[in-house]
Amino acid sequence: MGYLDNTTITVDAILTKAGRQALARNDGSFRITQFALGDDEIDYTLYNEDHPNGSQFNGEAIENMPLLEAFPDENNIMIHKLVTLPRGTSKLPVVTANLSAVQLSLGSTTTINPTTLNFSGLSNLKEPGGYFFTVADRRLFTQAVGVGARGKSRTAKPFTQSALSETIKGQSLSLTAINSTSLFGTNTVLLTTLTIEGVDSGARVTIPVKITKEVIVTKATGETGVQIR
Amino acid sequence: MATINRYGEGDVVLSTDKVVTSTWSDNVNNLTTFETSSVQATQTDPNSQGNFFIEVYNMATSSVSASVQFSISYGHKLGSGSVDFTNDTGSFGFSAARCVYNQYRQLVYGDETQNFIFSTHTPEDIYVINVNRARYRHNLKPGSLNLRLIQGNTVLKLTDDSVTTTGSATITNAGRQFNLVSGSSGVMLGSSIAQVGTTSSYGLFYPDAGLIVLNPDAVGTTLSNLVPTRGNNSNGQNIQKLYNAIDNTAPQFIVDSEERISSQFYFTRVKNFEFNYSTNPSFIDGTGNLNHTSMIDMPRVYISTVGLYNDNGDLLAVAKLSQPVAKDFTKEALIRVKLDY
Repeated sequence: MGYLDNTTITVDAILTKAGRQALARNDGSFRITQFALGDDEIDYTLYNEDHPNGSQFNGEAIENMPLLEAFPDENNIMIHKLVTLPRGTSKLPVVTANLSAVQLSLGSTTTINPTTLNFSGLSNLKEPGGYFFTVADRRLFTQAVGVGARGKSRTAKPFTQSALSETIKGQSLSLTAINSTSLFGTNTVLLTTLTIEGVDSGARVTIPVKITKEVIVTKATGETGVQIR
Repeated sequence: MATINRYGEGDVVLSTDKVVTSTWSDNVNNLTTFETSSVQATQTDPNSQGNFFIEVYNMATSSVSASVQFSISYGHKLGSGSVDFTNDTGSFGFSAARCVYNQYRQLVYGDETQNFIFSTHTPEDIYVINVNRARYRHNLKPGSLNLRLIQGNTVLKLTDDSVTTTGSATITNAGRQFNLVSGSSGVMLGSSIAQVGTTSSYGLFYPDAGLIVLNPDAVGTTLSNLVPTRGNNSNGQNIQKLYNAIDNTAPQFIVDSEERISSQFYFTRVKNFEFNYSTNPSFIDGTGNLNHTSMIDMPRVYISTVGLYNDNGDLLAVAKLSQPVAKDFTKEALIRVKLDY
């Protein structure tokens, strides 16, 4: 007779950049109420269904893998979430957007409309809970508005020297680029990413966003607009 | 279908623990090297920084690793022992030494008329050892102080009387106050706090403020090199005297510091029917089909990360496991996530 395993796994957490900022803001937004589980770093192609020692050893390679420490950038961690689905599910949800990449000139606006494949067994449905839209660098946008049920606009936050992400919830997202060139320096384009994650499904897709340094000036003489590059 | 679960009542527990560490940089227990910056120690002008205090480093200041461990200072209630800022009628005695004395008097007593009293003796002046705040964290630990001062072969070992004395410490504006006595690790030699004559202790120890205030009359009785030079409008080099008296031959300056760390524990409970599928791209193909057919009946995923969120869905904190934990419909997991503040 052996002893039963009654151990609890104990892990130390670190604050993310967003967590530190929420703590510094002291506006009540630093209040942990929920958790999610992720399997970042796990490559399921290492799951060996043909293991010679039998099916108990299928996950041998994964289970013996040492994991890396957590890093504090909320955009680069918890990328792949575990999801609760009924047993026997053979197709998992996949999020797709109406644009494969976003390109905006200064001050221009576009709308991103995601749908989810295989959601509730159907194709290309809007998730009822909406989507989390996360822009990796919120300084590059003057407006980011979640449209539709449960949609939320971004809240006013102080300017930061470095890139900081922001998450907006909604069925779709209206995104307006900055209309000043101060962040460009000598660059002609600024790059960031937009990550769309289904609230209900947890499926996500990341698309690149490019802001070009184009200013459209309309002269008082009535001439047509001149583009300054 | 869900990717996020709420913590229930009783899943979040706050705990505060006291942590004791060595005070000096790199967790060194006994500070044995005492270096100063020659630039700072200059006392050319009445208002030079070196007339007010000298910072003591753990190694030569030419090293990039050198960091301030404590500062030493000298104060005189009438301003003697240092040069007047303006040596003229109406401003005699207004010097660095007077500034220092009044500053610490305000800090400890909050009263501009109260002088430092050691047992029942009231000297004119004080020496001060001020431990750098970054070193002592929340407070120095009473009962851990061991300071060795010397003059030639004469040695004075000082400690606080927190272990010997029963009852509560005296409470001042600078927190708890203990007497500085001859002895070690909080245990006093002999039975009288009045270490010199029948009236005078060697000093006072303020662990909450990181301060050690020495009584020059008492330490000067045992070690004559610590008798201050108290001339009017003259630089007595008194701070240097204290620095020289800190033993460099068989050095001993030990004091521990205490810190209270508040930890929040999040008991993350994962039931057998939860979190058995993954959005990991290696788990499914481009259209959402499971890559491993054996997983259609018995999916198996591996937990590597726990994300902690607020109500808005912002990822506030994250924890990584040391090894992946397998999860399927026959397994439950309890992961205790600890977040320190």
